[in-house]
Amino acid sequence: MSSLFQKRDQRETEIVDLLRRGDQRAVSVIYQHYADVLFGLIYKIVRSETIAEEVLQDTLVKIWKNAAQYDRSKGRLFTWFANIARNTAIDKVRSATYQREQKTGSTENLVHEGVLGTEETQVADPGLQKVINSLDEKYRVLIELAYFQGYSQREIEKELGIPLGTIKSRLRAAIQELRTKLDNEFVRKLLFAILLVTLLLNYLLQT
Amino acid sequence: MNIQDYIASGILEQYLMGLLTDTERQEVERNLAQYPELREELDRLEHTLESYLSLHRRPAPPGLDAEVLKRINDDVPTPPPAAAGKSSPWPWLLGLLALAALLACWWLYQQRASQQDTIDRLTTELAELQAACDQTRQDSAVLEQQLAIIRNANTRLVQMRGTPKAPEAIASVYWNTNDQKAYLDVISLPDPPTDKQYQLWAIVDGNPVDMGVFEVVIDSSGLQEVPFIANAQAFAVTLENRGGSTTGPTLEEMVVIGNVS
Repeated sequence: MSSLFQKRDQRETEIVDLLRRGDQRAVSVIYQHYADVLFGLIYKIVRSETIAEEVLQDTLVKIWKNAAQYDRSKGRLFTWFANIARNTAIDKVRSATYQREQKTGSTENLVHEGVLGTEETQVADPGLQKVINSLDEKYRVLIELAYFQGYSQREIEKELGIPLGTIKSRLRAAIQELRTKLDNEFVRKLLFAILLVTLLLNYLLQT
Repeated sequence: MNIQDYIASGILEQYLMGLLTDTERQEVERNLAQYPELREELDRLEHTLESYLSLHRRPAPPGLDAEVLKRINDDVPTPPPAAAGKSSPWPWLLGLLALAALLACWWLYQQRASQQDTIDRLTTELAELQAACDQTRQDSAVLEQQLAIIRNANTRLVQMRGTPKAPEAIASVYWNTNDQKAYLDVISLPDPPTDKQYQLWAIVDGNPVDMGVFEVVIDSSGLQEVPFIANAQAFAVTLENRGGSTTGPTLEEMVVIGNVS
């Protein structure tokens, strides 16, 4: 797990260096490594491939333009990217244009239906599905509202009818649980990979 | 501050999820800078979030980065035209204002120059008029004085007529026995040669008495005061050598003579 983190952090340092120097290759490096994650995040919020593409472009332009504002001491580069993508996507969803487009008979009006309902229809990754399914429903909803829908604590309080103190402790528990599940998932994948390689080697050696 | 309690409060999770107010967020950022343990914990949370979000990954259409680069590079030269287009009324307006100011300057300068000309002309004119006025006043004072002499009840006029030598010549003596004053008024005398000068004489009991030489004043400014001789019976003017005769008048050169009536 820590080697994965090291690899991520090393990549971030490289990108920060490129951005600092105003090197436009940064955009391609970011795209190469983060486009899928950011696109997935954006799509989860806007529910439209076309709009998500637009928002992804806007996000990258913002990242490039505001690179000087990134402060390592306040968080990781990925978190900063994700926040820009998330905010741009939420702004888009809340914009008048988006609301109008969704009203005029688009088939992509899944935003509000998908929020609190099951994610099964939206998730392609079986690993994710596994994690999500194993995650306590009340935690999942909390992360959903806070992170993907950009609700404020007051709005969550109103939506879920739970007090602020509970939100705080539950959010912490949610992320702790997520961490454990993801670690387990990663270990499982790792063990599976080792097993596969072992079997393959065995097979090759036998023949 | 107890770091473990602070972490356990769940505030870092709120920070990560963007649930804090600006003030709370700034406080967390200050603490992050101060306590490495907090930064480590946040790092773990961030990695969890990244892993979680990675599960949602969705293949992004290839080539969008090229689009983004195009937009970035379009944006760079775009500001100048946009800025120029936007602010173009300003340089234009400023240029117009500058031109107007320049024209105003030129107009004011012209005005000033023409006014200066007028002032110069009027100043000269005024000086001339003042001089003329002074002269007139002076003349007038002299004339008044002379008029006073002439109008004085005790003043007598002795007119001297031309002799056959100068029939056109004429001069007068105003004579005031009360004030003991006498004045010569040259009305018309021929111009003397340069080496000669006219001399006035009084005749007292048949003897000539010198009353001094005088110049023919062309501007006819009027009366010239001459010595007063009591008991004069007649006055005469002779042409003498310059400086006058001390030995008596040259009778052949007499030009005018008049008796006291």
